[in-house]
Amino acid sequence: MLKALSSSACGMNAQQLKVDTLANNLTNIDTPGYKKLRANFAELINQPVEYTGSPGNPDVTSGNGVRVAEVAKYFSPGDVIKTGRSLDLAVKGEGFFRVVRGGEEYYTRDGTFNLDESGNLVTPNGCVLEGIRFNPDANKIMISADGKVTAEGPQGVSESGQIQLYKFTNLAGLKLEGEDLLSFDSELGEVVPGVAASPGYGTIMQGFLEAPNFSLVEEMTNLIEAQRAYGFNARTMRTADEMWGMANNLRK
Amino acid sequence: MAASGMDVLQTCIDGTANDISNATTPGYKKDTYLIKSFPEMLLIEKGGPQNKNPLLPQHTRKIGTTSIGARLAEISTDFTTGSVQETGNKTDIFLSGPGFFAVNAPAQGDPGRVCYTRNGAFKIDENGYLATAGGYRVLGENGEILLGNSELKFDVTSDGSVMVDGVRVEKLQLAEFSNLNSLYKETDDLFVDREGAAETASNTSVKQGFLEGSNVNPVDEMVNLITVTRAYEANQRLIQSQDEMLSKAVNQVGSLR
Repeated sequence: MLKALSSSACGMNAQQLKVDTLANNLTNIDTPGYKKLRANFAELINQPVEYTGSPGNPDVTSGNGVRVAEVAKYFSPGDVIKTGRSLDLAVKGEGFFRVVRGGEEYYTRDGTFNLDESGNLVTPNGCVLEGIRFNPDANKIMISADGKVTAEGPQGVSESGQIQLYKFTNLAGLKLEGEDLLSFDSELGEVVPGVAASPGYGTIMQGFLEAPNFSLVEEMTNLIEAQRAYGFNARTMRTADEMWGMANNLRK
Repeated sequence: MAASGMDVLQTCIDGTANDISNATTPGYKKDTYLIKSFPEMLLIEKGGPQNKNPLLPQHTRKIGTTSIGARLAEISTDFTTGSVQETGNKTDIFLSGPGFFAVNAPAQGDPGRVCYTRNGAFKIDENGYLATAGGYRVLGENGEILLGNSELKFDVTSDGSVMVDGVRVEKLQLAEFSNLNSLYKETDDLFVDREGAAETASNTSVKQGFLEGSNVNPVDEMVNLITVTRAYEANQRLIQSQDEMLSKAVNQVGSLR
């Protein structure tokens, strides 16, 4: 009986984690460059039925519930949405921006940049996009598809830098750091820098942002499914409990 | 007898609980429990009042046969296909037809052991290989499938060819079984082919971006829960009434007033 209770508890835990993951996706519906997560399940240990007291078939095995095998990230591209703001950048195709904060390097596809006092392009969480420096008097900023940054000021048009994109030999080496930032574990692969619009790298789109790569309808369907499955497991637990109660009431 | 019934039903509810907890596990195949009664036994009466024939050994008389309870004879796996859902993830692969993916599942004493699964929720592992969610590498016809950073640009065609940037690099190793009873369930949705019955798949096609759901049917499982509880209750009643009868025998028969 304990096994039925623990299996259904397992199931409830798994569905709870699924709802947590879905909630995390859904709260990020407006986060540019967000990459969806999904809890992937697999069956838990299967073992021979220990059939004490009565002869059983030694080949008979039964399972012990479910486990969350991993919470996977999916890097498929999201839709590109027009914002019209000159410092919003989207990468259409492959490649990540590299930003630096406190000497640590991070990668992101969230291209919501701002200009700070010293003329750097910074993300809302204070990470600096390397290699770009504007004159304080720049009033019009132009970023071309291949990442060339130019600014128009009182002295005319001047070059302000070049945006690099980064790819990885192994996407599984990317680790979520929160705040739309990813870090890369260099033991699992290499970082390959490249210029936007060159073969294999995406183009940079000024005035656009990348929407999250999940579909609202699909997430809602999954949410309903998870809720139902949770209730389903709770029902099993109650049944198991009732049966155990009956066994306890054998002797009145 | 009734106690053995309760015992068996308990194992059944364990199985139902396991099926239900896996109601959303991709490619999960539910178990069916087969309960059988014990082999029948012959009851023989020894030395009853109407059995005084000294020629019969020990004054015995055959009464008839009875069974002494139930036992779990078999747990078989139901291999019907689960529902299909579209996910759009390139690493989700659905098998349309009876086939299975072959994965490398090293075991103690057998580092190259091959197991089979229909859970197609794959990922690309830390070293760039296509792997199951549980971390076992998926096998192609020439071994493990190295994809590197190609998560975004790899495609699987309907015959199982793995293409990276339009170039065929590998073909998924798919197996079919004419006798599915040779498959034994293991941890992580893996099936072990204990009899070496795997055949090259010929009736299976591959669909990328789709996932096979679990074949657990909520209605069936609910009915199962109810049936099992009621049967359990009936067995409990039997034990109780037997207890009452014994109590009568002990406390009323032959008591002095």
